[in-house]
Amino acid sequence: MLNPTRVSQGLLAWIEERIPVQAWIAASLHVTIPRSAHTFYLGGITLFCFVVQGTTGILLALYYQPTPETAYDSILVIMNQLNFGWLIRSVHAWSANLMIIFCILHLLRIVLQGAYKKPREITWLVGMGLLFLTLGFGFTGYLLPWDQRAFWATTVGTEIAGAVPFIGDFVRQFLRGGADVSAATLTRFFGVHVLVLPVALAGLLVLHLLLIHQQGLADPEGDENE
Amino acid sequence: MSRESEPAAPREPDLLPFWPHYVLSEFIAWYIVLGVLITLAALFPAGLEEKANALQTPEHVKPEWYFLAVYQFLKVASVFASLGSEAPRLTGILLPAIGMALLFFLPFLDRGPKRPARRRPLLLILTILILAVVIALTVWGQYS
Amino acid sequence: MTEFTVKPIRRRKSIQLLLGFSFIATIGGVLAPIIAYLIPRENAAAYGGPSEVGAPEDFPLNSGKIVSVNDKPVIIVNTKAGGLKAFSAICTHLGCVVTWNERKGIIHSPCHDGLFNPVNGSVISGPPPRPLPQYELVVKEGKVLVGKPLGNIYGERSGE
Repeated sequence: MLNPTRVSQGLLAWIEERIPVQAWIAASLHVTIPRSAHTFYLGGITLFCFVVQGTTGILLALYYQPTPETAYDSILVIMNQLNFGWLIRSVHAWSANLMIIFCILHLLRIVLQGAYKKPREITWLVGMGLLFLTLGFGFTGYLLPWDQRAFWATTVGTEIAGAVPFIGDFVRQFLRGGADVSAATLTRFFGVHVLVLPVALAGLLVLHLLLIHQQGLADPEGDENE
Repeated sequence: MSRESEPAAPREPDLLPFWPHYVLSEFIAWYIVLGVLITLAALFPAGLEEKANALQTPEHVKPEWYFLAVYQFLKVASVFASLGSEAPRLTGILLPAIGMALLFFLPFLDRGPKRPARRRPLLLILTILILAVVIALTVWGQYS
Repeated sequence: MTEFTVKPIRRRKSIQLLLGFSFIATIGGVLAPIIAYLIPRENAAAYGGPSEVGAPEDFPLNSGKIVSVNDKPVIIVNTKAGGLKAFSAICTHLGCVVTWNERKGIIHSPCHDGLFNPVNGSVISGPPPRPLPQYELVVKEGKVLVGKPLGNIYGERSGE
């Protein structure tokens, strides 16, 4: 008779013989953190918000329709007709705000603890990239419900980008995909929100975590090059 | 830990194992955030205004709260009008952009060896000042 | 008196049980709404009474025409033997939409050459497992109206 414990043990041994998974897990977990580096779990909570955004975002994308004719109605369907659709959209909206708040708090901790100093300058730059991408998520995601607030906030927001000297007109047209906020803007923002930004953010995130893992957390009580 | 006689001696940091100690606390933090998220979503569900209408601008158009400070600063920049007709728009865009660029390159601007904020009073004062200005602009933007 | 032999539960064990239970409960609490959300909603285009598909002149003798009834394809056939009839145009084999074969005067499924009788929808030859379900059809005030499917949506197997 098949014994589930023995089967799973056999399977694990089979994998372990080919790729040293246990050694990888051990190497990633068996590190230490300076007790004085009070992280307040800010970066980890930002990561958690990103996971929530990925999950709820995929769920929303299954029903959302990115055209000016149907976007608003598909949001109404999500909010009123689907089971827990209102909950998933509301969690997505709240988690977006929390993600930005925790990004900023995490940044403040790094500044006040001086954790960006040598040799961690690259981690800081990658982290700033993550912050900009997160703000990009907020800017593109805000248009998608295609209600009055979304439409006019995007109109004004892209207009502000148009005030940049010399390249302003080009930037505004580029962001809008045309002269005005239109169907082209909606599909453009949707594509950036669900394809470009998630891939870019996931890539930078892996780099950020790898650097932290390799260098360890900075000890705020010790000075650089300790 | 008091080594008054040997200030230059390297200090041994007190270490905490990542696994399971730190991971467990991090999990508890995630648990709390999940609870907060669901509570907020249930009490204040995401709203939806009327369908977009390109022919009618609603009153009080505002960006999301995290862009409010820049938005409000652009309005405030009209005080630079005496410097030329384009001056308000340029300063309103360029100053926040320069600010972000300075923050981006912070590790290359602040190269001193000291880490904790209490031993870097200039940084502490600057951080508090900038934070206060940004929060003030955000609140002002929200209620104007 | 019966003697109870109860294994003592140690504090460590009970804490582990509690933690494990609350962990599983959380996973379930998160997954349940997600699964419920993924269930498609009821088709919005529900039956709203018979729908008009044209005038009787639109369906001359020995013809078959595909029309849309409540977003579903329906074939209206007019034969000497059966008169004006409405059948579901979705082939019972793999869901292709059937066509009218002018030369043979029968309903033909293009996917695997299933042939259906235009009088009662039964399978003449080919792989379809069931006949085409028939729809209610009435001619009223110069309009052809198609209503609900007749009987079992799957119809009855021919020759049974």
